[in-house]
Parts: sequence; C-alpha cells; structure tokens
Amino acid sequence: MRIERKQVPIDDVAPGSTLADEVCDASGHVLLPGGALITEAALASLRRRGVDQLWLAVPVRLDDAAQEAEVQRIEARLAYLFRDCGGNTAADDLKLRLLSYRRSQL
Amino acid sequence: MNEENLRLDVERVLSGINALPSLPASVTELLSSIDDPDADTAAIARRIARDQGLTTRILRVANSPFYGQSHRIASIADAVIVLGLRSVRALAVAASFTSVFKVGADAEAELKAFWQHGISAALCARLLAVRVGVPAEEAFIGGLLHDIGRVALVVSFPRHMAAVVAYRRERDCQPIDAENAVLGLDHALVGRLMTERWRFPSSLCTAIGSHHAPPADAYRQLPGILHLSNAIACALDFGNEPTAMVPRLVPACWEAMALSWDETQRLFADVEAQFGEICDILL
Repeated sequence: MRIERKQVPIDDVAPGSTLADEVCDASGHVLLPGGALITEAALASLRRRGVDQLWLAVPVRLDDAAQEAEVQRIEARLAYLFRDCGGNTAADDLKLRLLSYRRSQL
Repeated sequence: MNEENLRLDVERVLSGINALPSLPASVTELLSSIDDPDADTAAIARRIARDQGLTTRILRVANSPFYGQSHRIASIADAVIVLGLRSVRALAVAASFTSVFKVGADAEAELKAFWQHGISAALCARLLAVRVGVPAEEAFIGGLLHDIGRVALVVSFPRHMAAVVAYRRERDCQPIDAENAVLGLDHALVGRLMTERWRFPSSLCTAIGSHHAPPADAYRQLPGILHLSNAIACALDFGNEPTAMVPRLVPACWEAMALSWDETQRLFADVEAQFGEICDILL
C-alpha cells in the first residue's frame, strides 16, 4: 500500500487517521507531531484552536496497470543504484530484499 | 591543470581541517564525555540547557514518535531521566553539527542531501547497533557523520573536489574511487583525521575512517555497522539523487550481521518511518 499526503478539512477527518505533518498553532507551537494517530479528543482540541485543515497520511491502492508500471520503475531504479555491484553476493541479497520491501508497500 | 597538482597529503589535509570553523565548546565537551560512564549527568544537562536553540531541537526530537514517549518531555533534565544521558548527548551533538555546517545558499541543496544521507545512515546504524549490542547513540552519531570528511574536503579544497566531481561524472565510478584517483586519499581518511582533531572518542574516529573497508574483527562492531548502514541508506534512496550509487559491500560483513529476511524488512520500514520526522527537526 502506497502512502500519500493529502490535505483534508478537519470535519472530514475520521478518528484513527494518521497525521502526515505536525500541526502547529499560530505561534508555531507543535500541537501534534507528524505521524500521530488522531483521536476524537485531539480533533475537538484542534477545532477549538482554530485548525480547519489537516495533512493526513492516506493509503492509496493502485490499479493493476499502475502497479505494474510502479514495479518496473522500482526495478529499474534499483538496477541503476546497484550498477557497480555486479557479482557482489551481499549487494544482490540487499537489492532483492529491498525490491521485496518496495513491492509489499504498493 | 594536470591531475598531479591536485594530489593531497595528510599534512595539507590537516592544515585545511585546522582552518575550518571550530566546534562550539559545548559540543566538544559533550563529545569528550560520550564514552565516560561516570560523566556528571547534572552538569551535562545544565550545559545543554544553557543553549536555548539546542534545547528546543532536542525537546522536539525527544517528543517525536522516534522515541515513542507517551508523556510530554518538557526540559533537558526530564529528557535525561526519560531517554538517558547517552541519547540526549547524541541528540545535542547531532543538532549542533547540522547547525554548524549550514553553508550558504550555493551549496544548500548539496549539503541538505549530505545530511539526509547521514540521517538515514544514522537511523539504520542505531537499529543495527541495538541488534548486536553496540551503544546505539554512538552508532547514531557515527552514521550521521560517517561522510563528514567529504564536507571538510569540499569546504577546504573546493578546486580539488570540483576535479573529483568531474572525474566521477566522466567515468560514473564510486565517489571514493574518484577521490583516490584524483587526490590520492579519500573522505574516510579525512573523516578520521577530522574527528581525531576534534577529540571524538577513538572508537568513532576509527569507525568513520574504516566505513568503506571495515576490519574483519569489527564486522559486528561500529566499523561494520557504519559500513552496512552507508550501503543500506544509499539503497533506500531518500535523496533520489540522479547519480546515486550504492557503495561496494564487503560480503563477509553483510553475512556477519546475519540479518534475517524479516529483520531487514522491519529495518527498512523503521528507517523510512523515522526519516522525515528527524529531517524536519535537524535540518
């Protein structure tokens, strides 16, 4: 599952969503850190402080064609990054594990 | 200019290092106490707390999901109690370095990429260190600063490094090979000289100096951890640099770490999850 940042009006945010970026008040104080899970109480508190939009980390599901294109892009990039590692068993292993990790995130 | 003129030796490098801005006294004091188990905790906390900018950044990191604390940490003294002196000291050193080496706008993008690679290697090194029982915060600093020799070279010998960049562009080789071919020495050696000059703990100086070629008896110690972290951080590709190249791995070092498949998947996920947050705070 791929994660994207999306700006959402606070009234459309469901409890249990994940913040992509930290939320600060007008004077720059951090109210909630990036990555925080948003609770009902946090939503109420943010509304009281006049926050009306939040940047959320939203999972996005790709369709089959887009997923295939993304896998090809990842494979090509890894091949490029590891271009000086031909015949290196450790690098081959690392590359394989990373490819598997990237695929698991799609 | 022919390549002969661009050779550097240790003596010239040392005089270049001496001309660099020195570290704030607070940082050198923190560093010198880093491997001292009997260090005076209260005195160190007071010293950090005197620097307001540093305090703010440390508290932001301490309260970030990176440390997973449920209660808000409001002071350096609290941070020392909750996270431990080692963590606070490592954060102070990390935050100081990223602010000391803020360069003018011309090199800003380059320097940002440098610190991004350092931070991803630092996160990786910290996780590997926990796995093999090496002090995690020393590994974090080592990961952050493993390429610091490159900064010294760029700042002190810009003409030389421009030739290294040109050499590398022409051949698409490893950066360290370009350095050795043009300068006759590389950033790992310069990093060791620089950290020795700054009186880092000797284990850190050695590990920074050998991160491209860790000795066989140190694969599961700091040198091996930095070697693997450098490669993994590069492979995770945070900077998406057009000319990025994963450094050559020492297969025996990778095997000695003996990471299971699941451990690597968790490592990748943890480093990616923490990266953005730590960059926001430190850069």
